[in-house]
Amino acid sequence: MGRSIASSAWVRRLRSAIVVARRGEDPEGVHQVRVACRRLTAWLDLGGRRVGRDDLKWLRDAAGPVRDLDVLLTRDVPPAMKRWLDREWKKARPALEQALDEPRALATVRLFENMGPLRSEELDMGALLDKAAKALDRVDGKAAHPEELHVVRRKLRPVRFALEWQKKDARAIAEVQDALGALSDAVILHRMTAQWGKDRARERALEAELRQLARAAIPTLPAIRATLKGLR
Amino acid sequence: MEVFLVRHAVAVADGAARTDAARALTKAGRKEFAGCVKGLEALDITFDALVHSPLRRAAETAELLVPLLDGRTRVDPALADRADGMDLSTIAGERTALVGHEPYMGQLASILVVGSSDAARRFAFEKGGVLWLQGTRAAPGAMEIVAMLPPKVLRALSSGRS
Repeated sequence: MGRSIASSAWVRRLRSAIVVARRGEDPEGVHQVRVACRRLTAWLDLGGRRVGRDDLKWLRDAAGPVRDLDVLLTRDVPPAMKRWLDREWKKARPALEQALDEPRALATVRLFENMGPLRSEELDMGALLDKAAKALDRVDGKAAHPEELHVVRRKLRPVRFALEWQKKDARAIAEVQDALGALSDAVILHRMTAQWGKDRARERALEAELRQLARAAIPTLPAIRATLKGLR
Repeated sequence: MEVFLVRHAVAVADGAARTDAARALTKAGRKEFAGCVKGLEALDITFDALVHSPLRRAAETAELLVPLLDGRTRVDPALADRADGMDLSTIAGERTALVGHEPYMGQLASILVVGSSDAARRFAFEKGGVLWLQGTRAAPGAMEIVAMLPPKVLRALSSGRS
């Protein structure tokens, strides 16, 4: 009989992150809710399981707007934009609190606490690798669009987590993710600056920065493809 | 709209898991319910929402129903608790499956068909059994019975198809 993989460590982290996120004093709580949800989603995907996935997505989505704003509020942005971000944060926070107070939030934790471990015969990286490869195929190698590369980074994340659940070497994927990290941050900053809509010059500067980051990322694409191929 | 109340399949006995909530389906229970799913398939039954209790035996039963789902799943703790605690307005799909436990499934059936949980004992759910209801909305007394599908019948339907 092969090794089984229990999700309990990350379920415990999700439970305590929900408490910290609900208290609202430490932004790390909201961040950890999202991280734990992503880790557990990768665990389900690795085992080809579906039940629980939509609950994690619901929780992750509920925490998303506050998390994005928490990150942007630490960035060097014009004071007027910072004030706008502050106001947006105050608008987003009650929706998150409402979600965390719903019985579904705690029930999601209970659901995972009750689940059995993944059995070795359940483990299959195929679907995760397919999704990452598909995202990679969508990237135009000559004129890479920053949003497309941002999607690649997002699709590589569950691949990395699935490897880590299996205690396999995920360094190659982690390095690519780190390399694309600045681009992903810039994508979100650009998106919010455009939503703010008060500084067109800054938007243009961010667009130029994004293009540059995307161009710098293009030469790494063949290596990502090869890494994914090697994992099959 | 249609609502399918499903009692979880056969699980390991009390005491065979670290908690009651962690009781898994038995190998035979899993196999038998897979046959029930085929029976539902033979009736062309599909779901656009699949709601289940957070208890392992219900979640594992729900997982076996996933091939019939074209929509989302949702955990609802009320399905492991008193049925009169369930917010019926959350049953919003056109074809929703609810996977839970006795006596709560009987209570829920009674509420939806009769208007109160008083007749719960008349809705005797076998493990893996399905009660098929229809109505204009999921509200007390607003639904009628289409069929009670015990597991034996569902499995017979599945073998009749092959």
